[in-house]
Amino acid sequence: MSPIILIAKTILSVTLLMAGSAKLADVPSFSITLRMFVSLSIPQSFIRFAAAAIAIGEITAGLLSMTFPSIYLMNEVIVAFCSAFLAVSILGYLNFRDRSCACFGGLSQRKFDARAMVRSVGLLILAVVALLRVSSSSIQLTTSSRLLLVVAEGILCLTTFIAAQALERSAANLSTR
Amino acid sequence: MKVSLYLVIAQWAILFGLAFLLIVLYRQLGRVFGAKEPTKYGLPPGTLASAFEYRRVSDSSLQHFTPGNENPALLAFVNPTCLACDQLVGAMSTAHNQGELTALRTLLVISEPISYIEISDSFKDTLLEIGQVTSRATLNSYQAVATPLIVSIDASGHISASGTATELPELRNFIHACLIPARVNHISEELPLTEINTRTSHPETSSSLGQKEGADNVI
Repeated sequence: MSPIILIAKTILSVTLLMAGSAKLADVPSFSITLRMFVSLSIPQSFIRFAAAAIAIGEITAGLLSMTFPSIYLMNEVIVAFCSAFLAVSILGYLNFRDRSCACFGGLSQRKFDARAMVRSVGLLILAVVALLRVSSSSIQLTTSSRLLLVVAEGILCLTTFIAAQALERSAANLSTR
Repeated sequence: MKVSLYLVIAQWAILFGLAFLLIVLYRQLGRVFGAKEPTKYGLPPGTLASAFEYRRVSDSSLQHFTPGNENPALLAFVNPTCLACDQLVGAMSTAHNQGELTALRTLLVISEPISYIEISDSFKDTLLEIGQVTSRATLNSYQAVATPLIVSIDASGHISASGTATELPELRNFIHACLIPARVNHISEELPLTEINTRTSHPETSSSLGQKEGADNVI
């Protein structure tokens, strides 16, 4: 059982790291999606700030969860994130069907549709599985391993950020060619 | 040295993440350099434009758009949440302020809720008429499957050009197309949309309007 729990945990961490970095690469697009869910009286500058904060929050959660697997609280935080994703998917499906969800910024063209809801349910199931306890020996990390993990996570975030920006720009070039 | 199970799994997960990015990037490279099927949206030139009902945003009154009657018209299917539309509306407002649209009936057609106009400064500030479609049939009748879509309609009510634009120079091609009678034929269907999307009775004087292959938002 332990490997399954750890796989679920790492999949979630990587997903959060990539989703956060991709969103951060195109905050304006994500803020447009966010705007659909909040009151129109809220100023756009605040929405932009909130969009960037959500992206940074995802990266931080992913980073902490992966680097410090023994912190049980992070599993609960990720369950909260996944529950929020599911709620947004359902609301998006009901109110803004087939509009872009900007879930992975420029990395994907995902929309608010039935498949998005299924994906969100899948993520929530993984988060619940990751809540299960594992033996402390299987998640023991030395300082150097932890450092290596942080570097690898940094590379993943940076690559995702660059890829999302590159995709966004090449898509823009395609549409104005 | 014993490596913990978690470290092994985490390393593989990161490796898969990077591999996924590589695949996504190569796919995009293929899209950029590979052959593409043109997106078919907007009606071919020569088609008779259909009349439709809309709700005028300024006073919430129901209005009717009737193409033809010796009045050339420029329709722009746009939405406030679409960034390219925001640019286009800005360009149209500039054209309007410079008097370039005086000879035309100009209408910005939105399909999103009227309250969304608050999102976009261009939509909020424009002096152009904005109308919200009352039925999806209107979007279907103009094949407005993505925004922004500009439709130039000549004085006889035939579509003389349709496609997408965001900048003023591109927009001017559509304004110009409104003033030239469209040739009522279906030759355009034989041509790829990416090459030309306007056929007029004076092809030597008209500029070709390349239909862009992807609009910002799918309606």
